[in-house]
Amino acid sequence: MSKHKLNINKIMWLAIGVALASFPHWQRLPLWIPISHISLLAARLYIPYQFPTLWSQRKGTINIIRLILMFSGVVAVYSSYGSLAGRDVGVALLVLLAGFKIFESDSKRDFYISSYLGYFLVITNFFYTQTIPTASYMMFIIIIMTTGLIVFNDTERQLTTFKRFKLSTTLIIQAIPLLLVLFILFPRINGPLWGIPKDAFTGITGIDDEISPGSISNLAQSNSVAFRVTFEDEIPKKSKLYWRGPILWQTDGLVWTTGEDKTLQEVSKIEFSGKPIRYDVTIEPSNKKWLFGLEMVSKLPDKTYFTPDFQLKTHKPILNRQAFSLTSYSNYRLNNEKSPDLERALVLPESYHPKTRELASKLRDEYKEPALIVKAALNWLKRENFIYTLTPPTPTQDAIDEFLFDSKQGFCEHFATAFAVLMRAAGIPTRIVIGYQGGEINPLGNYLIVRQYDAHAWTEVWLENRGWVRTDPTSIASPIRVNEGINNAMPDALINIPLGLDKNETAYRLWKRMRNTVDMVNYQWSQWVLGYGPERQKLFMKNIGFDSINWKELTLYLFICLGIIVAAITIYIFRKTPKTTEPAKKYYDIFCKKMAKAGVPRKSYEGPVDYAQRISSTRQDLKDEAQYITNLYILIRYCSNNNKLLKLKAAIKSFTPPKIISN
Amino acid sequence: MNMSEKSTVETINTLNIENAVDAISHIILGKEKAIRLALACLIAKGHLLIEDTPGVGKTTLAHTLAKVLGLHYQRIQFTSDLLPADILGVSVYNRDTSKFDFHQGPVFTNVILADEINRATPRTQSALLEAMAEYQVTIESETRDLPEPFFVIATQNPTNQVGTFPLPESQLDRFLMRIELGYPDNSAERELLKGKNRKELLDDVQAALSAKELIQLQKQVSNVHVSDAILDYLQHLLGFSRTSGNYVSGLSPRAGIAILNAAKAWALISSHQHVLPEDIQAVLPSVIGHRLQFIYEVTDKQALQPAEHLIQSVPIP
Repeated sequence: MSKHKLNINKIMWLAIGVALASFPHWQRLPLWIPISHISLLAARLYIPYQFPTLWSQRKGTINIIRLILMFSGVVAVYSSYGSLAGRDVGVALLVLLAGFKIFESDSKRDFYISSYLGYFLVITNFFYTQTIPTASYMMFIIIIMTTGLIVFNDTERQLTTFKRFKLSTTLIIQAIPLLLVLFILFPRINGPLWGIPKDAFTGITGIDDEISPGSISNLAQSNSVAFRVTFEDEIPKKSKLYWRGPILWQTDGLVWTTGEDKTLQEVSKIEFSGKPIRYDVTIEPSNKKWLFGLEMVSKLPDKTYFTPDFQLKTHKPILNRQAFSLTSYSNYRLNNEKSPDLERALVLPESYHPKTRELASKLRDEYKEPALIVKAALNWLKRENFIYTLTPPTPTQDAIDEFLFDSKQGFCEHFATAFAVLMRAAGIPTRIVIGYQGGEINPLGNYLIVRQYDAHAWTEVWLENRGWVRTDPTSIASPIRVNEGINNAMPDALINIPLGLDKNETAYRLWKRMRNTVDMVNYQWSQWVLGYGPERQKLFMKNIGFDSINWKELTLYLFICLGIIVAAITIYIFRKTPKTTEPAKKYYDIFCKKMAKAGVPRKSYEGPVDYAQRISSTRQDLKDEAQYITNLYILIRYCSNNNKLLKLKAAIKSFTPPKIISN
Repeated sequence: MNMSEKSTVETINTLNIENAVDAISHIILGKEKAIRLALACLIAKGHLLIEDTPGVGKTTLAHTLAKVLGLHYQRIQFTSDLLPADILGVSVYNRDTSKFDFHQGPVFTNVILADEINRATPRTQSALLEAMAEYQVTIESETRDLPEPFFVIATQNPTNQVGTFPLPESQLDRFLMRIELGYPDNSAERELLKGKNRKELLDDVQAALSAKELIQLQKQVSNVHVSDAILDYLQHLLGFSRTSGNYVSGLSPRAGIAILNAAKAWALISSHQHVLPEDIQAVLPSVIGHRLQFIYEVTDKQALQPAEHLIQSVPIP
């Protein structure tokens, strides 16, 4: 052990790779861990080369110090996390100990272990984020790490740094077929492999199962995606896109809530007619058990159920992006029989909204027929020139009365709640539905993006023989909201447009197009990469002709495919090099061709030494290069020394003889 | 470790070979290629046939070779009345012991200089056959081993001269190489004319190699690396000689082995550890010159020797 076997170049590549792999973790770790990590790497790169005698002779002392530091490091991790188990602690320990491992690396074996640690560190980043930028960054680090391995093994220094990098990249690209087979065929299990902490979704915005004036207008500020929809056929008209969410039955005069499920006695009955609409909804994590379907969904996907008031729900909160296949009919008839539940849809808190009640009794006296009353009320809304706005005046006492008779300014929840109160007061069973309305079509990829600002509230009134009928008072007051989407209904709103951009400017259109592209890529990524779970796998296998495949068969096919790929590569390699020195001949032939072009063709029976001599005598300028190439060729072809093959290849590739200048 | 040891041993010996070549070149002027070929032939444990018109230095070369290699040598002047016993030896009745004592003939030596071998009758010529092939002689049903190393360096006059018995093909095949000396070039001839008598110079020649070193060299020949590419080339050469229809008969497997051994020895003399196509090309005319003949019709079309024609017809793989 007089000399350390790992030179600084090799260690440096390893250290850079590991440091880059742990880099995204730094922000998540207590500050002292990344500092220790980097200090250890730096120490390994500095001490042995600056103080070689100290490093080799005081090995024992250094080891003891290292052990003490390592032990105290583990203790410190324990004390700052309070445990030694779990994702965060695991990552912290891994980053810290990877530093120690590299610090002590002094042999081939150490090098390889450190490299594997580095590769594992790369994977751990996916515990936290699985976006495309993360994946690209990780790919880049894998290339760096692989370059490190190549540097380590290229003892003859046959390749330049760039070529090592290139080789590493080529290797990674060559691994893609294996990656695809493993990705597609590896049996999938439900949910992620590791648990996601419950508090992970606290910051998520989304609709709630209650509304009060202002709650949806808050959402209108958020342009984060709620869900995306791919239709099997063409996308229906915007005004038909009502995405049904929670149904609200109870009000205390200000806040509307779902009420308690138990009191709902009714058995849902629904009849469909018309053409079915088939589509896939990919919902973003919401930490809620709701699924949004077009009104009305006819068939339940797996792991979902209908509430009695026909809300689509999942059994478990949606914690990661999930896709569901749904079928809906836009013509339907819901619960057209009388039931005790209708009573609940008439309840209003006592002594609230006197003005509204007054209007309601007027309407009831005048029209009698519920259907006519509804129509009259909607006409009244239209006549009164209500203003659809995000920033209505704040109500002082009775929100409904003030909205209907004073300010006449409001957002969809104002319209929905006011209309529901008016209807109930007029004796017509009414409930409020919250969900999303409309969505933005991404022409790239032809799918619909529904964002949080598409959140909407509307009402359902119950009419005899017709059941629950959707009535959207907002669509009466501001038809543009429903027909063209919220962006066009709110020309003055800040929503959705970056500062300084006008809606009619080219820059805005460009920005919108860019946003669409980014969203499309993200959508495909989540659909086909992150969202490739058991269902999608099953679907995919079905598409390529494997009906109802189980995991055993999948594993079998997986190994068959891997076997075929490996066999194909093996055959290719053996075909390519039938004899070990054959490639040298190939390169030498290229050299001869180049020389022939330069004016000195080789005779078929001319040996390499003779040829080189002839070149030397006719072309003095090429003497050295020709001699060098010939020597390499002879070493490989006639001494069976294959180590030099890459050198020969490089020399011949860079050999460009100038044409002889005739005088 | 092994590799480096081997190479140091080799450098010593190839240095000695250079010394030998130098020493011989002092006597035989301007014939370095022939000298090297002759040395290669001996290192490859082959017998050497020197063919040329009288007076170009065949015998002198044979003498010098024997002396420079530091070997015992016997010269036999072949004549038409030479008998096999004159070469192998005879048993003579000893009256004192009442037994036949065997008197060794000149064949029991390291080097035999068989001068003008084609002047002897075929019967006598064939007496050398067993000695050359088996390194042993059988006289009166008793087999006796010859000393090691054992070479026959034979000289012969062109067969169209008067008073010659052409060597049978079987015996020609026993010679690894047949070399020709040819007339010296102008400067060499001038030097020759100005210089001392060759016979006197020959007396001063010192051995450049010991017998032991020579044996070691012979062993090293088998260590010379032969790559698959070289074997391919050799097989292509053999194949062409057999299938092209240009030659009376193709080269035999023995000829193939001879070419390879000679090429290995040539590589060793040229101080590389591996055989190159050039090594094969260098020895090929000498090794197959006496084994390969054009079919009559081809001869007038080609101004080339058969071996050269063969070399130029076969591309190096």
